[in-house]
This record gives sequence, C-alpha cells and structure tokens, in this order.
Amino acid sequence: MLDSIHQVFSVLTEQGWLPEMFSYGFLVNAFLASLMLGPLLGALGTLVVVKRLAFLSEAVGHSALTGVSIGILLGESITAPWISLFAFSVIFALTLQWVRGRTTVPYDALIGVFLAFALAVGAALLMIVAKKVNAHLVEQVLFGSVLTADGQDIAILSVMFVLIVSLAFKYSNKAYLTALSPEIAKSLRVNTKLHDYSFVLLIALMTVAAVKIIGAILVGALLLIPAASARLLAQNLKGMLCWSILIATTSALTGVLLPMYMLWAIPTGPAVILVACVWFVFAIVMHSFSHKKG
Amino acid sequence: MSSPNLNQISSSPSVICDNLTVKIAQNHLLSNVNLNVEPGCWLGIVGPNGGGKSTLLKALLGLVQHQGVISFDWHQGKIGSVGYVPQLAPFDASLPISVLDYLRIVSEDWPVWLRYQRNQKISNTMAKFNISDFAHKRIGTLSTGERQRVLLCGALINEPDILILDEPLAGVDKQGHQLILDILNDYHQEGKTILMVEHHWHVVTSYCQKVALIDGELIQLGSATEIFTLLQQNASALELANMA
Repeated sequence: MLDSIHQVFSVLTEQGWLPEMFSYGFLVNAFLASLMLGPLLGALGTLVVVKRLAFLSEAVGHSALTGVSIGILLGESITAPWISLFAFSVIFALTLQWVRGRTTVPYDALIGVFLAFALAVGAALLMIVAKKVNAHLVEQVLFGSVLTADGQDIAILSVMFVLIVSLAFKYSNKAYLTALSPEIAKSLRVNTKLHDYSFVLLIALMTVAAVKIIGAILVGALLLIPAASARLLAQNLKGMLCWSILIATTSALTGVLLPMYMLWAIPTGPAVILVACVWFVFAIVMHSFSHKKG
Repeated sequence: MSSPNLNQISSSPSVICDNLTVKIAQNHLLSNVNLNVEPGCWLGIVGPNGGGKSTLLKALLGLVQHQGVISFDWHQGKIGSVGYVPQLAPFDASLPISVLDYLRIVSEDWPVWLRYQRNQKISNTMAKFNISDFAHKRIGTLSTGERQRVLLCGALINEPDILILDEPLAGVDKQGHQLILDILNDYHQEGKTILMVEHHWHVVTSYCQKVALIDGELIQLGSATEIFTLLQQNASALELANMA
C-alpha cells in the first residue's frame, strides 16, 4: 500500500506536478504522517482546551522523553523504541489520572509534580543514553526529524486515525459534556471516569504516534496551540474543531515541507510549532480586531 | 396549583433514602436521612445555607459518596432518565460553545460537529423556554437567569422521568420565574416527580406537595403549611422575613 503511494508521488514528481523533494521516500512518509497527525492532534486539542488540561499534554509529551531513554537503555531500536515509549507514556498518564482521583491536591499542581518527575528522570537517563549512542539521534527524539518516519510509523498512525475518528463519531458529544459539566454528564449516566481515563490514554497514544515527527519536547504544543488559536477564531464548537484541525494540519505540513524545500537546517518539531505560533498570533490579531469592531 | 392527573400511570420512580449519610473527611454533611418520595410528587427541599440540601441531591445522583441506601424504584423495573440542573454551572465565557451546541450535546448522539441544523425537538423546547433568540450566543456569556433557562431546557429536552433541580430560579427575573414554574407545573401534571431545592417560600407553598426541611439531617417532612408552622415556631423574625 505504502509502496503504491510512493510510486504515485514518484510519478507526479517526474511529471513536474510536485517539487523534486517528493521523490524521497522519507519525505512522502513525513507528509502522510503530517496529514494524519494534524487532524488528530487538532481535534483532540479542542478537548484539551475545553478541559483546561494544556499542562497535561505537556507533561505526557515530556514523559515520552523518559520512555525513549528507557527504551534505548533496554536495547530497543534508537529510532523506534516503541515498546518503552508506549508503555511509559501510558503508565505515566494513567497513574496521573489514578492519583488525581485519590488526592485533594489540585490537578494543575499534581500535573506539575508529574511533569517535573518525567523531566528529571528523562534528563538523567538522557545523559547516560548520550554516552552510548550518537547524540544527534537523541536530538531527533527531542525535536523530531523528517528523516525518521518509516512504514511502521505510518501504519501505527493509520490505526490511530481510524480508532480516534470512530471514537469521535460515537462518543464526542459525551466527551464534550464530560469536559463542560461532569455533574450534568453523570446525571445523564455518562461514565465520566471512563471518559477521563480514555482521554488521558488517547493523549498518551497520540504523543507516542507524534513523537518522531514533532519530537518529545514539542509534541504537547501541537495539541495546545491549534486549539487555543481556534478558540479565539470560532463562534461555536464546530467552528473551533474545524479551525483547530486546519491550523494543526497546515502547521504540520508546512513545518515538515518548508524547511526541506528551502533547505533550512531546522528540525521538524520546532518548524511545526513555529508555524502554529504564527497561526496563534493571527488568531489574537483577528480576535482583537473583531472585539474592537464589536 | 392543581394536582397531577393520577389516573395516568407515572413513569417516575419512587425515591427512597434509608439512613443516608454523607461525610467528607470527618465532616458530616448529612446524617441518617430517611425519605420516601412517591411517584408524581413535587418535593420542595428547604433549609439553611450549608444544611446539606444540595448534598442530598448530589447523593441521589451518585455525585458524592454516601453511606446508607438510595433506591430509585422505577415503574415496571424499567430504568428511566433523570434531568438535573446543578446549583452552579459556570461555563467559561471564552469557550466558543453556543447554547445550541450545549443543547445538541445533551440531547443528541449524532456528533455535534457533523451537522449544523437543529432538530425540531430542540427548536420546540427552546421556543418553550423563550431562548431561541440566543441560540448562537456563547453559553458562558449568558446572564445567570438566561443560563438557568438553558440548563432547564437541557434537563427537560430528553423528556426525563424525574427532575432534580438545585435552585432553578436563582438569578431569574420575575417574568422568567413564571415561565419556568409554568413549564415545571406542566411537567408535574404529567404525573412526573420533581425534587427541588428552593429558597422562595411562595414557590414552595404554591407548587410543592411535600416539603423536606433539611439541616444536616431531615428535620421534618410534611406539607408546606406544616413546615412553615414549624419554622415560625423556631425562626427569628429576620429569617421569616427572608423566607417570605
């Protein structure tokens, strides 16, 4: 399947429909990954914003850093330490949610503690990892790289895409109601606990799926910035979702393709987030303008 | 107010609390409440601030942990639906979630982001509550009175078998009071149960068939007249003036 897609891109490149850079397989992979990552992160980001859990996505993103380090130390592939990355991120997110239900510590403070823990462990392990492997490879994990997305990544992202879109069709209203008013949701027999656990689990899964393109340091930002910008631009929930998906997808695509096209030596993660930040500035300007007008 | 038509079989459940106790940390918010609310009853719940009225409603809904038994005895064992309006439902004004979005979220399974047009049921219920004009307004920017009407609309839109309301008239102007009370009265006339925390004594005396006086425990369950007499014997002149 992926080979067929590569062939289509090759033909289009040869015929001059696409720039020459699309003749590289890794770039086509990164392009396809961005096409799936953008809508998923954009859509999930709206829930992050409604739930006011921006900090959570950051914390889970940083936990990926620790997961990657553990994976490398345990002998997993440097470019695809999936088992440790997946296991640590999911355990981290679920433990955070579990502790939340059993303590009176405010959620933001609790996330802060977990974030600090993840960073401290990740940084400590990275020092050890950096001695064992090429530091440049560690940099790819931290900030993402257009070179690393392979067929396996595309397959994982495709599964995530189908899973999340299916869940969104069936449960998005309940998820938004749980985010807006857990009490009203419970009165309508929505299993809010299950929704909360599923939400942090999805955040963890998306972090894992996005970490190779965006990087562990910045993956949380692509969950947050598009939705935060969309919140300023939209008038209703559908508008927020559409704007968020548009901003996340264009940011991911531009961040992946533009440095390659312009031959800039910028990692994909920072490039993607910088484009998203441009969108955020645009949203602030538009919002201020419409407020003055109103 | 006229009594509901008792010839029709109520789909509302009877609500039974047996030794209901709620405590958070070491604080007893409610102790040993025994209560039996028959189907089709409009129960007013009154009492001082901090007396546990809202806690009682939350315990009934399973929103707080409790000891003792709470049972909803549904008609023919078929579990029905509950409509709930909480005391405080602050929505973030900066969130682009419109009134229509909210009503679609609570009443439809179809994803709110997939279709724009409202369905007929939502339109009719909005018209009934006189909130059609601000369908596209952000729910967080509504006044308290407008928000209460929207929340009640959301609670009634699914045609619940029982309504649990925590001060539904708080912040609503006099015109809105009558609109809401007329709608609640129509609902009650269908033989449905309403459990309502309420501070306006004239509402309690005019509409509620039974009144539960709660102050950390169930002080008394009786008619509005009985509870008012009890309160007159115990309350100060100032408290009575506030209740009137």
